Amino acid sequence: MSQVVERSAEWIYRGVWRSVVECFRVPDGPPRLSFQQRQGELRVFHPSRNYLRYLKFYFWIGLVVIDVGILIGWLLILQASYFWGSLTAVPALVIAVVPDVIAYIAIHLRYDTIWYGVSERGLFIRRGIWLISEHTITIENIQNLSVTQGPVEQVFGIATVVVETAGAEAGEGADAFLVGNKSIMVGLDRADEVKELIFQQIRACRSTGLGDDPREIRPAVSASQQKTSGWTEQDRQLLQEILAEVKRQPIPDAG
Amino acid sequence: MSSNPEPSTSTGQLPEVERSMPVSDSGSWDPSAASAAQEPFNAAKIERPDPALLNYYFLVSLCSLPMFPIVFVPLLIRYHTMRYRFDEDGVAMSWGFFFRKEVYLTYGRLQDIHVTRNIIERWMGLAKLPIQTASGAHGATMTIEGIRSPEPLRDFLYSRMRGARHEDADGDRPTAVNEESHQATSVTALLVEIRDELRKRNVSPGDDQ
Repeated sequence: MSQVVERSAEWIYRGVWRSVVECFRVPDGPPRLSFQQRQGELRVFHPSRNYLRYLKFYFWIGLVVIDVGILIGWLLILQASYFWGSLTAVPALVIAVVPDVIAYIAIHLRYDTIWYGVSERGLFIRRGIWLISEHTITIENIQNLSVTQGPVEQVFGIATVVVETAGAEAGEGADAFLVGNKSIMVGLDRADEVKELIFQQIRACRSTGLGDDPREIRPAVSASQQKTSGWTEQDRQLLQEILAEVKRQPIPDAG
Repeated sequence: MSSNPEPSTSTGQLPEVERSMPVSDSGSWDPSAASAAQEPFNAAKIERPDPALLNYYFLVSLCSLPMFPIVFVPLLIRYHTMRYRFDEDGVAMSWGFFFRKEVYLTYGRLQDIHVTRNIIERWMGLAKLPIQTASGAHGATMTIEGIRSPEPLRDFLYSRMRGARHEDADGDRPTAVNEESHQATSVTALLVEIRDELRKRNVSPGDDQ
């Protein structure tokens, strides 16, 4: 019985997904990124399956609270008047069930539309159904990285990795997923792995990630190196003169 | 006149339907299939936003029913005066008639590239690219609007971001190091020669003691 329900649910969900893809032009399948050439391996992945369970956990809490509320309200009506109680039975049931189904499908859609891509050089995030936003940064531009984990997230073994660049924050009231400098990767079960991967790349970078291109600043660096090493061309000529002077001195004969 | 027959005839209808199929395909949001068939992406060719942006502005203005003229006129001016210039080092965007504005930024200083598409934009095949430098102002430094195929442009910008291609910098650094080390060795060689010459003169009398 449960198998039948599961299969039909999957079938319905696939239909919903197709209609979302067709009608709302939601990209189907993983993002095809053409920037991974000469970038090492690009890994594209969804959040952890535990993130889905985490979302469903909140869904069930919300469902129980709201539906118990509706049930109590309906029972009160029934107690007050049998006529009105029987009349509102069907609408109450619809109000209790329909939003739950929609919310349940929405959770799956939300999960299926979140994509992360990590390569040696770049980071890519896509999310959203109504408003699809994609965020692309280079690892070298990352300023800081934080891993946060709430109590419920700990139970489900997932964490949120927030990566920030030196870019501007999204303004007040603006959606942090649309603009701004934060790349928020929710629901990672191997957050430490991702964090370590990004950290390694950051450590390998010598610059500050503030837009200074090594190709641009190279002449300035070599000039300063000449200065700091202490030997200018004049010093070298001076040394050559000293050498010539020393050579002009006759070597004293031992005999 | 004759080239546009009434659609009531079946012969006139069939090619129309067939022709509309690829158009709807290329008009869909997914540009990778369309762009693969076309010539390689050239950002310098992007000078104006896509004409569909005007329709989008129109729809957005319609949402504010009584305020429609007040909302639409600035957007109309914005659309007609919007210019892009993608060159070797950076991108410039200018707009405005009464109040003109021009923003210029270099690719190397880009920090974040976003691509956002809401549902109306997707239906029209448009996208926005808010891009950011390390400036402190809230929100995007420049929002490139009315782009029909954002992915190639995104990849174009990304490939010119700092850190996206490291081998160029890697290729440069050894030459700089070599230059420095070459000079250092020549100075060292000179110093060694001076020391040896002095030693020749000093050591030999020292043998007597």
